Amino acid sequence: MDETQAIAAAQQGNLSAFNRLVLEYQNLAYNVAFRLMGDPDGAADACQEAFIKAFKAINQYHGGSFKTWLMRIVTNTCYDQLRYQRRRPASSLEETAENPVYAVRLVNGHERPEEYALRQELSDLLQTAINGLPDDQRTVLVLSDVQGFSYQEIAEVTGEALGTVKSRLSRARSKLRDYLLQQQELLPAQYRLKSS
Amino acid sequence: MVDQIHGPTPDEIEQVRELLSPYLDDEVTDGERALVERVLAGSTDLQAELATLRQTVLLLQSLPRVSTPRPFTLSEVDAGLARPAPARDAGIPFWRRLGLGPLLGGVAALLVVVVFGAVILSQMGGGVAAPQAAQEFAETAPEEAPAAAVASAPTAAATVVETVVVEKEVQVEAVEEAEMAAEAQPETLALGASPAPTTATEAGAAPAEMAEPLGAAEEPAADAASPAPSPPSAAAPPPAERTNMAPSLTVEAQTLEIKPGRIHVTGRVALPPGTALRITFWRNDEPFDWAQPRDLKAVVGEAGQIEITLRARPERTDADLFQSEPADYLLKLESLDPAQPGIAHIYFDTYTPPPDNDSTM
Repeated sequence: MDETQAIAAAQQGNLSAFNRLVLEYQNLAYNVAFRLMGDPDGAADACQEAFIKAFKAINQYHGGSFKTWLMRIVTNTCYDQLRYQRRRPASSLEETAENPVYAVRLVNGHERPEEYALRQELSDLLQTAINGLPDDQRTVLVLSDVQGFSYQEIAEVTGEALGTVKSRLSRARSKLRDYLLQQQELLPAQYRLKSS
Repeated sequence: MVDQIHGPTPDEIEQVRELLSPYLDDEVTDGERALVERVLAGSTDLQAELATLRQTVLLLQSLPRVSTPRPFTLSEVDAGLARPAPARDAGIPFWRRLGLGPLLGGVAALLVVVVFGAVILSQMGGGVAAPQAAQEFAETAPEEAPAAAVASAPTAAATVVETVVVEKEVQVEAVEEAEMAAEAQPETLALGASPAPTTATEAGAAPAEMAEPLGAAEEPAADAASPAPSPPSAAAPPPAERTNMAPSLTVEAQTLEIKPGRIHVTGRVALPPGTALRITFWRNDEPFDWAQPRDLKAVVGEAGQIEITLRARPERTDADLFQSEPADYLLKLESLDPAQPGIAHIYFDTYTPPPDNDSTM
């Protein structure tokens, strides 16, 4: 069963077919959610909710890229959750303190501990910088530079014009670059930005 | 145009600064590219900006992909195709659900008064027919009525046996029975103390909603994953024995943190990344319906890393295990991949309070 057949079957209410799509896209969905929310538990909740919404709305999918249709639901669900968390800052902070980003998931089995530690420092710093971006800029940055989406795909996911995607990405990258330049002393030496 | 003698103007520099990001991605028109390259040639500041921007993008691209903590496949309840199994109402007579318990209790109490009154009247020399009729009437009264008269509504509710959701229980039991038969080994409570159980039997342990990836077999996953039908066996082990399945995997570098309403486990198991695990929670060798979601799954990360978080269901009054009756607990991890079978056990108990009132173990 290919993707088109799975979508058609899911539109007939076939949950097993839809779950094939879930398995195909869950890694991408979780990674997008994780980078947008900066929190593994929140990302998991958003992902689960997004797949439920997608199943209920699958009949509104009328062709085109299923990936971008699904990622639009994922990013919108992440926005909703982030807005909800901001309205409840106390519980959000508590959750953050209780549930740090567990580094165990990021282990690469082939690297040495010191390499892992350095990469983890970099990863934490980058995630902190990403978290500091406005929602709209964070989304285009994550989709483009972390997940490798094309400008056209990002425009479909966000529902914005191509020019808007370009300018948002440009601003997001510049802010991130400025942040990393300010934090040079916190970056491992080999990752420090050099102007030439 | 760039002034070849005086260099780029501030307007041109600003314009090109906006174009550096799409220029990196080759998302500029031919005219824009020509402009960027001309202005760059005359501005060392812009060259530096382009270099640092490129490094920033490369750093972002180097961010590792994170592994999913669990499969996000939907159950019929998630999808709204089935109602959740009633956890509290099961076994409650319909009149209690309708709030008629107190009314029926009152009726029963009135009957008791009538019967006793008739008996007393008969002993005082009254007619014979009255007590007999009262006794006959009492015998035909609903059996539950006296109980309702005695039990107040809260205590009655407390006596209700909570229903444990047993989705796919038949499959699981069939698998476990087969494992028991195949192993025929002494009970082992230590992690990793026994060899791997039979692999064929575990193939059926995958729950129905664990679908095959795209491009896999045409048959629905539920059918493909279903074990051979196993008739109910008279020799099926009682529930108390089912947790004693010998584990075949050791959880290395294990951490276990127990907080009110939350249990967090990390460690490593000898399973390849991406292997789906089903987690079941046991208390005193009985399934313990404490955590949500009930059908808890996890996915093995890089280098066999596992991370599992169980959260108490909101309605549980024993969310803090250390404030409940001391007991032995077991987290049982079962691989759902028939090609990579394995079971790991993580034990703890609450007989000894955690040091310094900290529930971290």
